[in-house]
Amino acid sequence: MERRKTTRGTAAAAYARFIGRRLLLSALVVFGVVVIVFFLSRVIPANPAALWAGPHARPEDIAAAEAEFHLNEPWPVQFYYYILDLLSGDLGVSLRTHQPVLNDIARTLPPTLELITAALLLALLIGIPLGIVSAVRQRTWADHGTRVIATAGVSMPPFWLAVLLSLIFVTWLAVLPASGYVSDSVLVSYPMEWITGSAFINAVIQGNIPVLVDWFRHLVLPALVLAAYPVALVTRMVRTMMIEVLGENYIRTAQAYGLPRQKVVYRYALKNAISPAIVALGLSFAFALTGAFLIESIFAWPGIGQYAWYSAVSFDYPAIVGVALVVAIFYVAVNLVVDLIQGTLDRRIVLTKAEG
Amino acid sequence: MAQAVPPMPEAPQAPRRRSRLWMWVAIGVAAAVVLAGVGVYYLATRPPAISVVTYATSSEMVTLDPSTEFSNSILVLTQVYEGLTRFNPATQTAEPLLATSWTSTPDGLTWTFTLREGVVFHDGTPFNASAVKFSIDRTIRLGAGASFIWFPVNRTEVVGEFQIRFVLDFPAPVDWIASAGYGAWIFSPNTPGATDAEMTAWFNEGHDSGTGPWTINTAQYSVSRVLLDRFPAYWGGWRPGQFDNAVIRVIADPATREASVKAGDVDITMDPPVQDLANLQADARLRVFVGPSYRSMYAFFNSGSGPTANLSVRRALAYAIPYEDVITVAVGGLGSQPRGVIPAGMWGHDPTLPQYEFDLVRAQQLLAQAGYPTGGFTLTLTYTLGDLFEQKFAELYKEQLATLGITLDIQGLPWEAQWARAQAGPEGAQDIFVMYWWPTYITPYDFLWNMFHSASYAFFNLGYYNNSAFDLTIDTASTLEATDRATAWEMYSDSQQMLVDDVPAVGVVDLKNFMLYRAELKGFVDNPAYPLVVFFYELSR
Repeated sequence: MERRKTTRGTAAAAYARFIGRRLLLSALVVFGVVVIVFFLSRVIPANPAALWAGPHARPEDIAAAEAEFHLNEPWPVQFYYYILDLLSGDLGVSLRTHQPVLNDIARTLPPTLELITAALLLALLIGIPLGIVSAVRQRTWADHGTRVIATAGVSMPPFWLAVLLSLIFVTWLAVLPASGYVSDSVLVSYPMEWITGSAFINAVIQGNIPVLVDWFRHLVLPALVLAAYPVALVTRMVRTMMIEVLGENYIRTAQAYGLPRQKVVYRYALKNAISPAIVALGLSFAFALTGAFLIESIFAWPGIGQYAWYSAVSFDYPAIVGVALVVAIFYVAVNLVVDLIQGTLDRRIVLTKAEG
Repeated sequence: MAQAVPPMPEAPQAPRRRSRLWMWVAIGVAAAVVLAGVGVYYLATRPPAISVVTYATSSEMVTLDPSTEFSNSILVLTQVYEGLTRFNPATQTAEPLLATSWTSTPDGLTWTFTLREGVVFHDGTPFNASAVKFSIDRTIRLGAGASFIWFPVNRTEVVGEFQIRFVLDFPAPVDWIASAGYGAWIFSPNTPGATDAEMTAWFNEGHDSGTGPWTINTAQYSVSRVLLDRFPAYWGGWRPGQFDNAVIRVIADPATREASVKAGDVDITMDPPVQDLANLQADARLRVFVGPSYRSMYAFFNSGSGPTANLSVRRALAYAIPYEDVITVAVGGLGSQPRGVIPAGMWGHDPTLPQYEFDLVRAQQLLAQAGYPTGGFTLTLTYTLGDLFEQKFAELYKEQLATLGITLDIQGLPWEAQWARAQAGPEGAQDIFVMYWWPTYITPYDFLWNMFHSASYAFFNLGYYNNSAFDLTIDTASTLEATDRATAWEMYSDSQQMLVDDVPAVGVVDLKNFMLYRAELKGFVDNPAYPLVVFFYELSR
């Protein structure tokens, strides 16, 4: 009867084994992604040397660029050079921006993280309560209203919603700015050190309230547009799962034992219902890393989605591979976190896998 | 035998408590209101903002080396650097900037410039003839970007602290060359960098070492946002009302650029959506500028291979372009049909040159002459992916060619891919190549040599034109620009006539500059010699 020995020590060891195995698998996944993306970007016909040398390049400039970037070697050789550089932290130089790819990513990743975190928070803060209300008050107006909102959220094209919200808040009400990250007039009047690429972190660290407020004003519209789909998704999933869970026998048992309704709904039903919503939210969070590029483009939000798009259409292969690497790492990290959260909510999951 | 289970009696409920959910919602709303109030308080009581002018552009400013930069960073470099002269399109002359006067020998081979005194670089180094020699010699030595403009120069000589001499191998208008927006900048001899490569890296980090009224704020530099600080010791001085800072920002979407100007986030921008022209002109808060640019769109016909190798076919193709539709539909009215190769308004343009009209009957006759009375062949056309003007032109053209029985296969490619294919030589290249051209400095030679000289074969001569008479004419004309402009102009006109006859390419449309800015912005004057550049020093609110 060894299973009875579920002491604290064994649980911790199970977690550790779980995380360890996941990290190893994640590393393999990331490596696989890098190989595939590198191969694809190198075999597609393009002229990266011409991209580097610029629109008025002479043949000698292009030849020099080809030599410098080993462009005439077979792609496995180029991959070997790439991995060597990667191990010393060098992601190469962007052929388009002429800056180190690592610098470009360090500059563009934080704004996107801010944006998708804001959308994620909105999805949680709006979606979960709406889903609960909708499930608990089934077939009332609250439920119908919520379902309309949810359907609208998944159906409205982001660019259309962006234009609509812009029309309302920028053109008619004039309370929010049209585009950008932080206003130039604010940045110039209240100078700030750009320690990181994130205006939010910099402003908080340096106590620069005007920049923080201005950043927030610029964040509102793109975050709302980006949150439309996750909010709708979470609302629907929480509603569905809650209805299902609330119909379970153990809920009725708890009620029969006299436990207050609120406690039943939140502590017992929600914890079990929320798992699939968390998984879906995590995946959409990771997808939004580059999927937000349309919104970033419309609102001129200086994020990695836009960077990835420019890199892709100009065949800037070091940037393409660099972004793919970062996104792959991000995906596996988010998946790991989501699984850990699920494990916390439902102890059965982790232990079963660890023992398997 | 199953028995129905009697329903469970309703369990006694605990006394009903207010939902905690609503309590948390109320706390959240209260917190948001408090935060908003704090924010509004701070913004309302802040001191008067330092004055900033913001210009929104569509493309990134990637490299900043004044010797080699040949792309979008012209927007930045024109603010922080200066050349010996600056071109004035109104007077069609090069006017003094860092040079105050100049002379040349009658044979046009020796040019001596007298330099402005009391000028200082941003790093404190005094400006003098040695600095000019240093800058131009480095640009020539690196041999990249637009350095070819100095090709006529044999050597530079310092003949006095404020006198510099150019000794040429063949005559050339050095005063006009020195007004170029690329490759003619003067920078400090004390620029950091032990090697050329190190100096380039220093520039590309966001530093500058010029004499201009602005300096680049290095700490905040990124390819999509450049902050310029005032240079207090600028030789031109500062008047009240001028801006303390300037920002050049990239906003890729034209509709967003327009909305940003309307909202006041941005003061001036280029190329808003052309269909909004009428609305913008009617808006009292805004001003619209539409004027000549020196940019033109060309369609090159592969004269080395395929059906386009036949002269009659090329002429037929030139008659088949719907020029009026291109202007009204493709560029929203912001263009005119070209005459010859040199854009209207630029020195060297000849308004009397013949022009192909849109005439499908004539085109059909020429095709029949060439042996294709009902068409019956396919042509591949490439344009730069993402360029709406080129794309719309291609689509309009396809419709017209279809009526002649010619199938046009349109391919939008990134510029590098399109160009790489054309460089493969006439056999492997596309049949029709669409691109823009604009001058490096004001001379027809820049257009004619790059796009049609046989030495530029498969470089930008993408019609693969090979005509030694043409080559000789333009080479001679370029030397006459220094000594006999009138004859040079005639020869350039003759060479353009050759191009009209042989049609290795045809001008599709001369583009107009379309700028949108706030009504309270004063002092904006467009200078097409420096495409899409806004000279912030001249502006005030």
